[in-house]
Amino acid sequence: MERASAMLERLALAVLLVGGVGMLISMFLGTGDVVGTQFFGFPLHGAKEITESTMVLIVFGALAYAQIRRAHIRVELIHSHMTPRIQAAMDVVADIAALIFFGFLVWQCTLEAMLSWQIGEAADGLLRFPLYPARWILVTGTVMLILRLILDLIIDIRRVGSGEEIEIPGAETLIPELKGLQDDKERQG
Amino acid sequence: MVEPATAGIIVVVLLFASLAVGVHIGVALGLGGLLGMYLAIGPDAALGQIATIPFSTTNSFTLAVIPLFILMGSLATQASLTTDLYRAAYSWLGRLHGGLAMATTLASAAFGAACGSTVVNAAVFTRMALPEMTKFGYDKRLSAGCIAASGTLASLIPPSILMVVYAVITEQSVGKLLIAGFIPGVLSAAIYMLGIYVRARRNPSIAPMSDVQISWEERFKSLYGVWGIVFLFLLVIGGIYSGLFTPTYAGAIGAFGAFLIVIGKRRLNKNTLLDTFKDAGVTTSVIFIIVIGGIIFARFLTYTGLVANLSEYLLGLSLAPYLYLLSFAIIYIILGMLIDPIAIMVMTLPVMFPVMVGAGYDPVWLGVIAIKLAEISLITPPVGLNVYVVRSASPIPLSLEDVFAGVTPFLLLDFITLALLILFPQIVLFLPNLMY
Repeated sequence: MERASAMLERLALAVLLVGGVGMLISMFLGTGDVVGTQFFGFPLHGAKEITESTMVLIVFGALAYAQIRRAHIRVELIHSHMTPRIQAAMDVVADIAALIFFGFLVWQCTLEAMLSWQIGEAADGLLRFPLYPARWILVTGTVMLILRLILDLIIDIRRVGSGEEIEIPGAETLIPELKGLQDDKERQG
Repeated sequence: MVEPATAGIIVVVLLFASLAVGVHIGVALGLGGLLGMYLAIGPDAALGQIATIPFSTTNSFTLAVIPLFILMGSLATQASLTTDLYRAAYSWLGRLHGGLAMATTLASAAFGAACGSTVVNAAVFTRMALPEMTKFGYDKRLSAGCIAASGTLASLIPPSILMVVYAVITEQSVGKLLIAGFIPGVLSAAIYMLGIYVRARRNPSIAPMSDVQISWEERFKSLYGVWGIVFLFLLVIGGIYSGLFTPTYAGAIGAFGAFLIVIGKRRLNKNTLLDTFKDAGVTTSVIFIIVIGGIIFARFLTYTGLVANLSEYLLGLSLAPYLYLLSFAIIYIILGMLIDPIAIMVMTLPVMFPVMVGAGYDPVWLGVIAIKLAEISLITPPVGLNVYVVRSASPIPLSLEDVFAGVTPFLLLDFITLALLILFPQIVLFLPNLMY
C-alpha cells in the first residue's frame, strides 16, 4: 500500500513536471507569436493550437498531484470543528463523491478519445493539429487521480476506525514563500 | 422525468448538503448538474455533458490565460520582487503618519500587478512587513489587518484570475474586464492608505513615527529595484488595452518577462523551477476542476429552463434596480463567508447575471462589483481566507481575533469604496469604454 502510494506520487509529480515544461513552452510560443507577428510579419503557426493542447496537460497532469496534497478546494467550516473520526467519515463521503464524478468523466471521455482517434479529429485552422493526444492525456490524468482517490478512500476508512489525524505530505510547501517560514519554524521547534 | 423546478430543488438541497460534508466544490457542482440533468431531461443529456465539457473547457485558448497568469505570479514571487517594492514604498512613505502600513498597502497593490493571488500576496507580506511594523512599535492589529486587507487588492488589479473566471462564465470580453479592474483597484488602495493615515494621525500610539532619515537620493535609488515590475505591468496591460495582443498572449508575455527577471536576479535553478511548476500546476488544476463542475451545473440550470424562468420571475417583480443590486451584494457577502470566491461565481452568476443585466446594470461594471464583493468576503469572518493566511504565516504570536479585529476598519473602508463604485459607475467604465 505504501509502495503503491509512493510510486503514484512519483508518477503524479513526473506528469505535473511535464505539464510545467508545457507551461513554459506555451509561454515561449505565445511571446514568439506576438513578437513574430508584430515585428516581423511572421506569425508562429500552430502556437495557438499547441497552447490549447498544453492546457489539457497542465490541468489534468496536475490533477492527481493536487489530490495527494489534498489541495482541491472544499468548505472546511463544519469539517474543521469535528472530531478526527467524524472528519474521517466526512472524507470518506468526499472520496466516494469524487470517485463517482471522475468515474463518469473517465468513462465518457475515454469513448470520446477513442472516437477522436478513429476519425482523426483535428483543430480548425491551417495546421490541422490533431486533438486525440490531448484527449488521451485527459483520460490518463483522470485515471491517475482515480487511483489516488481509491488509496485515499482506503486510508480514510481506516481512519474512521482508528481516529488518527491525517498527515498530508508537504502540504505547507505549496506556496514557496511559506516554505521558508515552515523551515524556520522547524528549526526553532 | 421530473419537473425542472423539482429537480432544481432536489439538486440545490443535495449541493449544499454535500458542500457541508466537505465534498470538493468542483465535484459537488458537477455531480449536482449531472443529477439534475438526469432527473429533468434524461441519462443521455447528463452523459453528453460529462463527455464534452471537461475537454472543451481545458482545450481552450481563452482560458489558457489562467495558467499563464498563475505562472507569471509564481515567477514574480520567486524573483522576490516584493522586497524591492516594499523598500521603495517605504522610502517614499516612511516619514508620514502610518508610513510603514501605507507602504505595505502600496507594495501589496504593486505586487498585485504581477501576481493575481490574494493568498500569496498576504502570505509574502506577512513574512516581510509584519516583523518590520512590529519592530517600529506598530499595533499588531493594525499591521495584521493592513496586510490581510491589502492582499485582497490582487484580485481587482490586473492580472486577476477571478476577473477571468467572471468573464468566461458571463461570456464577456476578458480584456475589457481586466482593464476595468485597474482604477477600482488603485482607488481601493488609495482609500486604505488614506484610512491608515487618518487613524495614525489621530492616534499616533498605534503607528509611531519613525525617526529614520531617508535622503532624496536614496528614494530615487529605491526605484531602481522596481522598474522591472513596472515595465512588465505596462507591457501586459498596455498590450491588452491597445488590442495589440489577446489576454492569453499578454499572460504569455507577462510570464516571459517575469521569467527574465528571475534569470536577471540569478534566482533560476532547479528548485525554483520545481516549486514554480508545482505551485502553478496545482493552482491551475484546482481552479479548473471548479470551473468544469460549475459549467456542468450551469448547463443544467440553463437547459432545463430554470434560469429563464427564475430570471423572468425575479424581473417580473419590477423592483427598483437598486434592490436587485442590494440582494446581489447580500448574497455575495453571505456566501463569501462560507465558500471560495471562484465557486460563488460559478454557482450564482448563471442565474444572477441575466437578472442583473435585465435590471439595467452594465455587465463589465457588474464584474468589478462582484470582484470587490469577493474581496470583501476574503476578510469577513468566519472563513475570511486572507485572515487565516496572515495568522498562519505570522512570525509573531497572533490570534485570529487580533487579525479579525485588525481588518474591521479596512472592511468599513471597503464599503466606502464600494459605495463610490456604485454611485459613480464611470470610475469603473471609463477605461474599458475607451478600448477598441
